[in-house]
Amino acid sequence: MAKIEDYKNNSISAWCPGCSNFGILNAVKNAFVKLDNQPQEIVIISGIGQAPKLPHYLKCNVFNGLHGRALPVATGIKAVNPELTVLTVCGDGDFYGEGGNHLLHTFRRNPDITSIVHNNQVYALTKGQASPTTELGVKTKLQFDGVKEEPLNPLALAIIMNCSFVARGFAGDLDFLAEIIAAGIKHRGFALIDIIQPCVTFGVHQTPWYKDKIYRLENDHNPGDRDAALKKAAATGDKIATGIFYINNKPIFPEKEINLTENFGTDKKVLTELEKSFS
Amino acid sequence: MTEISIIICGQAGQGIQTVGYILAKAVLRSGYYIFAWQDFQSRIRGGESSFRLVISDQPVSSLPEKYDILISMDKSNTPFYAPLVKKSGIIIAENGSGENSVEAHFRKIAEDVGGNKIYANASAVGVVSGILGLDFKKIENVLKEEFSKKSDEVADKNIKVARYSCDETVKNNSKKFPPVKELKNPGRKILTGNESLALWAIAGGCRFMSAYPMTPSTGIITYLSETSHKTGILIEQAEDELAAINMALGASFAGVRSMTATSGGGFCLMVEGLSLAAMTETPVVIVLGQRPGPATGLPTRTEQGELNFALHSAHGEFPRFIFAPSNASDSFKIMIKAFEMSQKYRVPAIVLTDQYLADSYWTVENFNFENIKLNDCFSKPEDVAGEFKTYSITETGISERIKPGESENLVIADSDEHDQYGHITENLTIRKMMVEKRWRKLCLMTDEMNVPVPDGLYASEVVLVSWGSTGGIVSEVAGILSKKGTKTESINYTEIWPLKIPKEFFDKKRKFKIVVIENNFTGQFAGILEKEGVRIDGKINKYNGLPFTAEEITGEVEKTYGKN
Ligand SMILES: Cc1ncc(C[n+]2csc(CCOP(=O)(O)OP(=O)(O)O)c2C)c(N)n1
Ligand code: SF4
Repeated sequence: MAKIEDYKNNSISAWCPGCSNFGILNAVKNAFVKLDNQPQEIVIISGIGQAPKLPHYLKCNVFNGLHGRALPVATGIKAVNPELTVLTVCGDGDFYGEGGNHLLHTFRRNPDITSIVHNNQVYALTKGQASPTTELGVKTKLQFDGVKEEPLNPLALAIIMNCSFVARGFAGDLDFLAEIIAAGIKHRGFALIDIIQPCVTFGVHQTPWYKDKIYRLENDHNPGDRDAALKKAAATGDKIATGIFYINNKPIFPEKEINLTENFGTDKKVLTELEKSFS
Repeated sequence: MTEISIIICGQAGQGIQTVGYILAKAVLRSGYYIFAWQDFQSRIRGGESSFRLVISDQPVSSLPEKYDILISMDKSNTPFYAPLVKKSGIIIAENGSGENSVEAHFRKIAEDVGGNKIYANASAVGVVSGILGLDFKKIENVLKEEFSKKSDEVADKNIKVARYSCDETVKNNSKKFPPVKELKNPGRKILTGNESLALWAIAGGCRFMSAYPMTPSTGIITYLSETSHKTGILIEQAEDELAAINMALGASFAGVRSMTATSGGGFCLMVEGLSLAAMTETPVVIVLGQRPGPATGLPTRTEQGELNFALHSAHGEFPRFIFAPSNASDSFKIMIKAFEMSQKYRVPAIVLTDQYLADSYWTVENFNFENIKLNDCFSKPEDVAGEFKTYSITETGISERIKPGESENLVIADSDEHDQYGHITENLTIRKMMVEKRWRKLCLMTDEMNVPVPDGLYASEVVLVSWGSTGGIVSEVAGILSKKGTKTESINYTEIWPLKIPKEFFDKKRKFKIVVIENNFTGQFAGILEKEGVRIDGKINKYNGLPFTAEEITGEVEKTYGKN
């Protein structure tokens, strides 16, 4: 059985003291423990920002790529080696802004990847500008007279696009978060897990503010019911649902799961056969 | 020497490519070399387009200024292409008139004999076959192979229409062409530049390709897709070029050889990923099919305008390979080398092509698959001592690779500056070591590059220098000039970067003139040589979107250095 210590590494974190990212890191490790995943089976691909530093703080294979580009790298890795457990970890700016087009098409492509988005509604690493999920009217140093663009609703977008697994977690409810992440990893298909991640340095709302607004989706919510899921995702008002909103089992990419990393070289017979068509 | 040149012209969508391809294959099987270039507009229907076919008993890789035969599938195209026909040549068209014209009613014959206008192409094939005196059996076989994919009936009707048109032409044609005699067929092949690049990528061990369609490189992923059920290569059409290169890098990180292909505009989007490949030291092969820019430019025409871009693209400083095959034969060597070098040194390799190379049909003598030797550059996990270091500091700058998931060793790659293990660092001593480690590879990389330097450099008066797809044309020019009395040699660079320059070029007292020939405005390669200290005596540049002809280069060189 895997233990949480198996994922411990001794890197020194660059996160602010008290940041909710630490909790998410623990929930990720706990999800691996739940699934009994060995570090070498896991690859975490991350973008650039504060959140994407996460894979440096645990034990697993890591590809810390570019801002916005985690998904295509993850897609390439999983496509050629389906035996790996592949996750992406990014911030909301990275995933919904810079990488937005990849997200749209990953919904369609449906690789068996789990994407964790630390949604702190701010560009933290670049010191507090508005992100695609910042609420209307929020003032930042750059948006000094308030954000004028409507925030993106990632869950509703995902459900509309028939994303295979759609969930929201909260960095202040870590047991539930670990459960959600484990379910997302176990799910065959693309799993989007948006996590409400209060930022102690630049955030508008802190964890206590969320506490009485957040609730776990009722046991009677059926993740197979797309309309109900969409209604929950689009809901406005005081209450914020967390949990698995939507599950849609559908064919994954690539169709055939073959570990291509195992065969090296050229099959000369195949080449000779192809050659024939040119004479 | 026998050489016959043919233009088949018509609107886009009229199938002139099919006519040309069938003729080319039949002639190939009769023992000839062929070279064919396609000229088309960026549209799906209408306009003017042509398939230019050169048939010769000698190797060919260039087009003539004037052609022997024009076959026009479209009335409106005839006047456009007629000026390209030699005085001694003939024009075959439905509206053919005048002494050099043969009236041919492709559509009518198609309807009368085949029952449908769609067989007009077969009629054109038949007419040309009659004029050239080809062995009709060869035509018949190619038609059968091509059209029985649709149905036997379609194949039969095509053959019927073609045979009728051939027979009628033989009967009625007053203007006799010397017949194309059957030669021994040594089993040569024809394929397009793109097909060759794709085939050699397979030979180079490629297992994954992602790309976003862009002329003139789309043919590569198309071929890999069509053949994927046989090769097992996984291909994916990405949502954009950013995704394309990042997917390829993901696959490469996971442990397979991967590639992508694009044109200049798409490469603009890829350069961020190019830099990522460099920093994470993840091998990747990128085919950059150049086309005339800036911006959308002339999408279907040819140019060599992106050498400097390939060389200087992407943020940060890092070593890279740049190759530029000159034809479908040497793309064999080049593609395999691109994969091998990229793997060995863990750096990106860029392969420059252009429309002239990509869309043309080239004759290849033989494929020599037996000689392919690939080196697996991954270490065995059991040979790794201690905790695995993705970026171990070594004398050569090359660090060993293993595949994630293969063992308990973890593989950590980072686009941030990193320590030997791959973890993000801001330790500036490590930064300096890593920069030096990455650049240490350059020395060995340069040793790998080959530039074919002819022996007779000092004995020559003119040395023509070219790179990539103009190589074949320029070497023909050297032959022509030498025959006419100006001792000329040619050097074509296919292995461009890291740059190797023949020492004779730096000789201040050298008598031979160096003339650099490029399909671009500024003379990019000439500029690179000059920057290295080489005196360039002349530049010949063409930038109207069309390839060079041997005649025009010959004329230009003769004007300045000729004997007459
Ligand atoms: C192409 C590119 N553009 C901009 C940046 C600068 N940049 C780094 S992180 C970041 C935003 C980070 O915000 P988010 O993704 O929400 O993550 P957080 O830091 O909040 O966790 C930006 C704009 C970059 N690294 N690359
Ligand atoms: S800036 Fe905000 S999100 Fe980033 S580490 Fe600090 S508290 Fe956490």
